[in-house]
Amino acid sequence: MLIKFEGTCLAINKMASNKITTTIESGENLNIIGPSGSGKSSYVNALIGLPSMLKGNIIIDDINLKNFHSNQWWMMRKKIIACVFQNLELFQNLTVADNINIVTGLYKSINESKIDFIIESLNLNPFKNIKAKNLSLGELQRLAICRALVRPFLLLILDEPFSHLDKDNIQKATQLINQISNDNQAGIILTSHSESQDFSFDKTIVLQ
Amino acid sequence: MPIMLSSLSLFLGTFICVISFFFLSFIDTSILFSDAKDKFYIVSKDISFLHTINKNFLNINDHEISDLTYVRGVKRVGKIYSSEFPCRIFLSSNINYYSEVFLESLDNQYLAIDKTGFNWDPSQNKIPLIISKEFLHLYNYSFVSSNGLPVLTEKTAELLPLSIEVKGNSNRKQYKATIHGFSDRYLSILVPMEFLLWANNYYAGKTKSEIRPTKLVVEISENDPGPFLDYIEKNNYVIQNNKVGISENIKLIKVIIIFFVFLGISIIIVSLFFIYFSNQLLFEKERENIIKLQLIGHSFAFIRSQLLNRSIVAAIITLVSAFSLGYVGIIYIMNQAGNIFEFENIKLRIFIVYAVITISFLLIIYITNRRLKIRGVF
Repeated sequence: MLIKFEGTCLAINKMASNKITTTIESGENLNIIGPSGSGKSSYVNALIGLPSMLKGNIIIDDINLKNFHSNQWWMMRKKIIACVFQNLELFQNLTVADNINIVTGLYKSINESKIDFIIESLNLNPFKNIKAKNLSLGELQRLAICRALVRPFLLLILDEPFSHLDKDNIQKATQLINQISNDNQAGIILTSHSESQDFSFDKTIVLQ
Repeated sequence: MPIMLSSLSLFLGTFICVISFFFLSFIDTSILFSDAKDKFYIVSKDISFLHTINKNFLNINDHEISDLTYVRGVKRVGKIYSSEFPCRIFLSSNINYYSEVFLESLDNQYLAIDKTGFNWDPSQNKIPLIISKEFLHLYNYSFVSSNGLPVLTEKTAELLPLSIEVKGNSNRKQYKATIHGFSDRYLSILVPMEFLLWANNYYAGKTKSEIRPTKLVVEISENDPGPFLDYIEKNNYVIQNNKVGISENIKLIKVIIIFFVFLGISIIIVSLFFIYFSNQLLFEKERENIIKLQLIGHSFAFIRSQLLNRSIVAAIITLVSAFSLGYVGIIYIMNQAGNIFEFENIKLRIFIVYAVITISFLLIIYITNRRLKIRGVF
């Protein structure tokens, strides 16, 4: 899978020097760095199909995302892209277990022991039957990461995924993400305020 | 809750339509009266200015009778002759009662009662009469109170010693009269045809060829008297027995039933809109969750079908229940009504119509709900 960013920048950013053009190949990792409001989440939204302030073109395997129709987006989100959103997008009235099952239920052949391993690694076992609305932000963030990892993907998008985690949990999560991504031979796109040391990146986009 | 309310109103609207359409299907038969199977109409000419000049204009000629027999639905036409001489009926007993009357006669095949013995023997001074039930009612409820007369039942009336006095053409005679029976088809006093034709000749000097019928009895063979009634109206005839009232009542009842059909249809349309808009509101209310489901890989079509399944299942249950209940109700009414109504093939017709209605409604619900859109969802 080849992802090409052509002249991408925030719509409100009038400076030509802020336009980004780069390419990421299958399995490569990309770090998008920038301060708050620089447009990091806009890249994520554009890749996942949400309304975005991003100008320019994002082309995946010769198809411009602007030309995607609803069925293509559905296939993209189901089979290719897994995402940990900055605002998590969890179902607050469902339990931890139900939030995970609502994803795994989409796939016919899911390795149950792999799911258990991921839940265990992120230390979510004690909260399985607790509704998401009763969890702390850190626990919610771990749940969002878990939900992204339990399903197959070719590209994992992480939009500031560790903002509420302590060092210990960041380390565990990073190890797990690296392991699962390697198993899937998937690439990672990570957005952060500063250069991330948690993963090894092939490309970096710096936003101003 | 909105789905439940919509389903209930859909049920109510469908039920009203089912029952109303059922009554509309057979209202043309005279369903509301005891003589509902009686398809006989008494017809005469409408009285106009011409008739005040020459009463012979009231007579109906053979050409007019022939034309009438060709009207669609007319099975047979009988002639009714009137007496052309004055006569009076009175009780030959202590009861002081008499009345000036006129006599009519027609072919015995058109009599609604047992014809055995209803004939005239010139050698005997006795005339059998068929009296209108209306006449007996008039007697019991009007003459009795004003004249201090005894109330009579049909059986006691048949035992009365009656006489008929006839005069004319310088002749005068009293005949004993017996009540052969009572009729609710004819409003006049009927005598055997042989007597009337003879009496018109003897007391009024009219030959058989000179006597013309002033009324006709028409038997209709179809459940729909529409073509016959149209012909009557166009050719300035009037209907003399209470069928006119029945026809007008039936028209009024039809209008009322059609109103209920439209009411039922309006309720159904409003219910369908309500279902559509409540689904739209549900989608709006769950918009955030729907977006979240799409972001993790669920298709919009699947999400929509899960949400719409409730309303479609509710609609199916409602329509099938309304249809079944209506159909069972109709069969019950038909069984209770027994022989009053004629229901040729009506069960099958109603079943087909309601099946079509049910399937149509389900299709409408399905198609309109598939067009539901959610603001901002991709």
